[in-house]
Amino acid sequence: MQNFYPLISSPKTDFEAFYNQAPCGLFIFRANGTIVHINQTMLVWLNANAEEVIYKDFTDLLDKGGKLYYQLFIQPLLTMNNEVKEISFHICTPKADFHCLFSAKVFQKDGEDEPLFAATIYQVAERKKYEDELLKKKQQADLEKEMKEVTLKEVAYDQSHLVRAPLANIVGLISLLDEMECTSEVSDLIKLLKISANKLDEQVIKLADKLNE
Amino acid sequence: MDILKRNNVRIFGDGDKVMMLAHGFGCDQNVWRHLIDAYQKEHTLIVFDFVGAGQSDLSAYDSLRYSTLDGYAADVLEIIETLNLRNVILVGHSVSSMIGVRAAINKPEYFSQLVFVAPSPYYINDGDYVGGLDKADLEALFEMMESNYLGWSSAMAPLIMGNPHKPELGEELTANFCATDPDIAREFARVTFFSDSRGDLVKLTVPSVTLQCNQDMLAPLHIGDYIKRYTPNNSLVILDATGHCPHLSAPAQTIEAINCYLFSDNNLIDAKLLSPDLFT
Repeated sequence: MQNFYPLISSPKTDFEAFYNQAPCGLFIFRANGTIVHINQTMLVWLNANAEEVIYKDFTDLLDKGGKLYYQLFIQPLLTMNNEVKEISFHICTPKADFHCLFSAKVFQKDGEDEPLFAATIYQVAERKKYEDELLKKKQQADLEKEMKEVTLKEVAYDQSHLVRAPLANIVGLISLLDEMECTSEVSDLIKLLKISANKLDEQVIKLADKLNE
Repeated sequence: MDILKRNNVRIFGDGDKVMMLAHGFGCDQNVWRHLIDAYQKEHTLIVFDFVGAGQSDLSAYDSLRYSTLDGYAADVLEIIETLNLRNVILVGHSVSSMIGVRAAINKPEYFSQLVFVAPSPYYINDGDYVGGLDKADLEALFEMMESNYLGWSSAMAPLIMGNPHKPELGEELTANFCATDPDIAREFARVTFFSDSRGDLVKLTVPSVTLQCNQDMLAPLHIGDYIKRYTPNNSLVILDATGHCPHLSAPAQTIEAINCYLFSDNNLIDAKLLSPDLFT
């Protein structure tokens, strides 16, 4: 079982190759954001040499909104929870511009106290478009919902005021008619009219109550 | 209404001196862990979540009440009244410094000292005043918040908020969101960044100290001087710390600076200070 992984001829070189060629950006930064290690993939994505980014603040790679977001949310979370996952960032430098998901985890080197942060970056070009689309749809739906609510409130108001007022007049007029002298035939019609008007009034009230809920 | 439940108030220690810790925009009372360790032996420590943050009662959130900093200041005053506290040392981070200013202008008799951690009376550039941010920066921040709240599940939120004793429920969310409801976070962001408290500084009668980080994009270095110039009885300490949360990134310095202010005779400590934290 000793040579269970026969392909790994020289582990160190293989690990290094994997670190550099991994299909995601990998880097290590200090608590204050200073990059101390960065892999080849990340450099290619940034279109930069190692010298241009090593010992620089990694948050300088982000757009200003991302930098603010990092200060307000991510740095405190990293310090408190030692880990953040799948944070959506926009890398924006003079030489590179792409959306990515950022995850990071605290670790310590053997025998050292300094907390270091291991970070991965995945580019998310297509997924980002889909996400933007979803977000747009969600915002649109929220807006439409809000507008519908406003319309419903207006309908409720119209029902309870504009419709009920003339209806109350009708009910009043029917009562007046009822007191007048008339043939029994007309009197029967007035009774029916009264029942219908009251039913209508009940329904209008019910509808208005429902809309107001 | 149960104010203590509404604001998820927790009390540590039983010392004579009362210290109240008010978290800023973006997180909850968990940010105070280092200060709680340092001060609970000799103080009675009060920590809480503003309504909408952490494990506060979300149903108590009222868009109108919390549309100005005064609504948040009312939370602070109501907690103090409910617990019947006096001579409170109020430590406020970021926007909570100015919430504290409003509370202390309204009821100066409740407070003995105010500690501002990374404060700013106004974040936005305005003529000669350099707040550090402009409106486009804030729009970019709001967009960033929006895209990172995609994973927020409105179905899960009530579970978390209603179950402070089952923290595992909140684990997934707090890992990335500090458990703040996104709609409320958006409104709190607007109140935080669009409130202009510059005119309040001069009205403050309670003595105060500003802990200013030397590299903080939300509160540039000169903001500390600005606050000192316009606030009666204000001391300034510059922390050698990066970022906006020195109580997390440079806790030793932060605590030392607070100690220097609270326990020195003349309360004037305008020196560049202190043993640097190991890794800032």
